[in-house]
Amino acid sequence: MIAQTKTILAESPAPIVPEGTPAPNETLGFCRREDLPMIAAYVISRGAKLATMVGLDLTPRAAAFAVEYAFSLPAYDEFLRLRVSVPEEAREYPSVTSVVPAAQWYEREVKDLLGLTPTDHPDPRRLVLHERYPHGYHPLRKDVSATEPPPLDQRRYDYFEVHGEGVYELPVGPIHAGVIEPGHFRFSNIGELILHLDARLFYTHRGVEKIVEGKTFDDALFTVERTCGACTVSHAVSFAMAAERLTGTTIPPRASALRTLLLELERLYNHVGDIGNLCAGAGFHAGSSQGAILKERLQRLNEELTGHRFLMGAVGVGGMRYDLLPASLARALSDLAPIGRDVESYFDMIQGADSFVHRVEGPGHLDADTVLAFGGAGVAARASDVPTDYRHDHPYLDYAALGPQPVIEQGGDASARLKVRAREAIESFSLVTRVLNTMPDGPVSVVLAPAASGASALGYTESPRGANVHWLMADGQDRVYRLRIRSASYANWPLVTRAVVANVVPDFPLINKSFELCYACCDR
Amino acid sequence: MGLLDVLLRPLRSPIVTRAYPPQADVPDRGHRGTPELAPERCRASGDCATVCPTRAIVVSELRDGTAQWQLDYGLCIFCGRCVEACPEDAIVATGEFELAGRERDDVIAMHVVRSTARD
Amino acid sequence: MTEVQQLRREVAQKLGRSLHVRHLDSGSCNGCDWELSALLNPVYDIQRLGIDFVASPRHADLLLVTGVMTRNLQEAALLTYQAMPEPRLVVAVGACAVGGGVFANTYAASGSAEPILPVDVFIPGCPPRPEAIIHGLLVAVERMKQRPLPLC
Repeated sequence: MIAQTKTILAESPAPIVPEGTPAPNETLGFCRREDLPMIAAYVISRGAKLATMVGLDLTPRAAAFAVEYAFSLPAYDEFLRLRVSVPEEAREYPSVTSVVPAAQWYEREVKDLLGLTPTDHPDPRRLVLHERYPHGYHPLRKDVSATEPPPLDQRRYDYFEVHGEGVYELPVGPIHAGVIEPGHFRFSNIGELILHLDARLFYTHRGVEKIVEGKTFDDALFTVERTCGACTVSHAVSFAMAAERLTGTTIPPRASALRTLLLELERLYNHVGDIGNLCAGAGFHAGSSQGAILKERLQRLNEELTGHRFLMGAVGVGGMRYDLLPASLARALSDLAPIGRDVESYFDMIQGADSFVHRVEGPGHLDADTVLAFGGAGVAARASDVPTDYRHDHPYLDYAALGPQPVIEQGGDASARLKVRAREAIESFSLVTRVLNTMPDGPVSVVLAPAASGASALGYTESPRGANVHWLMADGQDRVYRLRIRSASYANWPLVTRAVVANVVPDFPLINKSFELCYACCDR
Repeated sequence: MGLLDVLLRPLRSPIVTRAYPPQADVPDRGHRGTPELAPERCRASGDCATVCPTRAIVVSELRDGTAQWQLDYGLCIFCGRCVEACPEDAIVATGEFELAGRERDDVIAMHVVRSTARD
Repeated sequence: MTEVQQLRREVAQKLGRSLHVRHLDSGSCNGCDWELSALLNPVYDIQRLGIDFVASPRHADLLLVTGVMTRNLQEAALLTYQAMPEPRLVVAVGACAVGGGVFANTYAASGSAEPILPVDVFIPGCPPRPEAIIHGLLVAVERMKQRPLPLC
């Protein structure tokens, strides 16, 4: 499960010292700080994709900091984790962003939260901590309190400026017109044409990663699953999976099937709801109302099955928190069939409504090269002909047996993203039906094996928006030492800023809704 | 079919509006419903308070063999851990949802219960 | 009841006939926000009660707050509230806005909407179901009674 990684390590232009396999398909390797950009470029040239990047304060145990880049090798279902030690006296390391643009936000975040500077980063502005936080305050350092409020400050933030005759700046947000999460969008326009978009997120930064430090895995899960309400199962499973992988624990087959079921149910109500939302963005009220009714039926099914409309609180570390009764599962199966037929018929209606179809064809075009360069994930990537889908690339739970194929469209515009969601929703109905029909009996949870101090692993699921990758390190008492949550939305927000260029401002809500990224997933 | 389908579909759809108030339709949520204490069964073991992820439950000893059991619905995340943990099955999950209150204290439920602890 | 309280109640009753709501996400996981958007769907159809969401706080009678008050959003939250003309109400939706939830008192967020904003009604839930939000809104404008706890 690590053969390709071994080959890549062996042929590296600069030494990578392997330090073991933290999980069956993960290899951890160390390299020198100065070699980092060269090795990162080399690894990318061998087909690797940046999966996540984490900054570590290891000073309580090793008198140093570290940064680690985790790369996915999708064609081989392997992960190469490249770690670099950053000494306490010189808290900097060479940025890889100029050779791996996908790393841009991760490196800026590590600078904000840990004070480790990526030298020569093309955009050294603060990312996560806005103007109220003073410079020099790095909350994820171990010597900074989790609960004490930071001293207040009022700094400047410089938005990217475009100069030219007739160019003006249009600030939108963070409070938006509709019922939507907060984010600031600083447009540079000529007339209605967008020249550039500087997007600023992290208004809902709640400090999830710091909150869970020191908690048991079970306790931490309640916070982690509330990172995002719409992707709650995906985050819960990714986190639990990381804890299970770093302890070498295998969950029972029934737990795996139930988790798969809930992940697909989450995909279903999100995709149907997001399509309805896209109709709202185009002023197509028949589409948004009918979509909302179908989403409501699916959420009710969620509630009847698990007791929660968003499926929160069903997944546990080691499996499931509680079993789902055969009667409930049978009822879900029979309720799903009519909803599935109505959803298909709804998609037919939408795709037959010519004025709506013309409205969504064209806006927000994103090409495959941009997606690849920025490490795009999920629906946004697949709609631009980039076949990334962790259910297929890194099969987990029951997905190896179910074998879903990535749903690809070539158009790259809002219409393509709509089609990917519609086709995936129909596939999800089929997956859910298969899982329900082959549900094994047996226990639904196991006790985790004890975690070695400093053990770490990845946990990952393909959420409705793309891969959520959790990086987890345990301390010596089966508690969280460090958690890094990288959501698909975190990877994709930079893509939105590219997709809007050369579109008109009134199309921005439509384009944004065609991505339907989570701000909460990104901000944590 | 195109736009004709768009016009006819809503006309053919049944009315789906659930007119709350008063019509609410809360499915049986098992132990994930709203936790309520059956005070006659409570023995103030405090297990519920121990497992609560947000410390919404506080059990404090009073004098004379009683205790105060307090659940702050404003902190409750409806996870069901208390329902599972109670050794007396004294916490019941119900379909109640009309929990809104004008004052912060109005969303806190309090009971006086028998206590098994000694002074 | 004091004269001021009586006046506030009468004003709230008047607002209840046609209530304009402005949503404010001050740091939520989005669960509560999705339940708020469900209020506008044909199943819950909050418009049949004379209640609607508005785009600007300048058009609003009531501020519906979700999420913990993050340090990054606090200034925008206050500006939104200050932009609302009097009389104005504030309703806190969900465990985070009411009591801080699982994110209370961290470096990144102060916690519940109070004390930054003066809250008139607290709606528990994680997230509260749409009917619970409707109940809370109607309590805020005196169209429904709040139910004293404990409920049974």
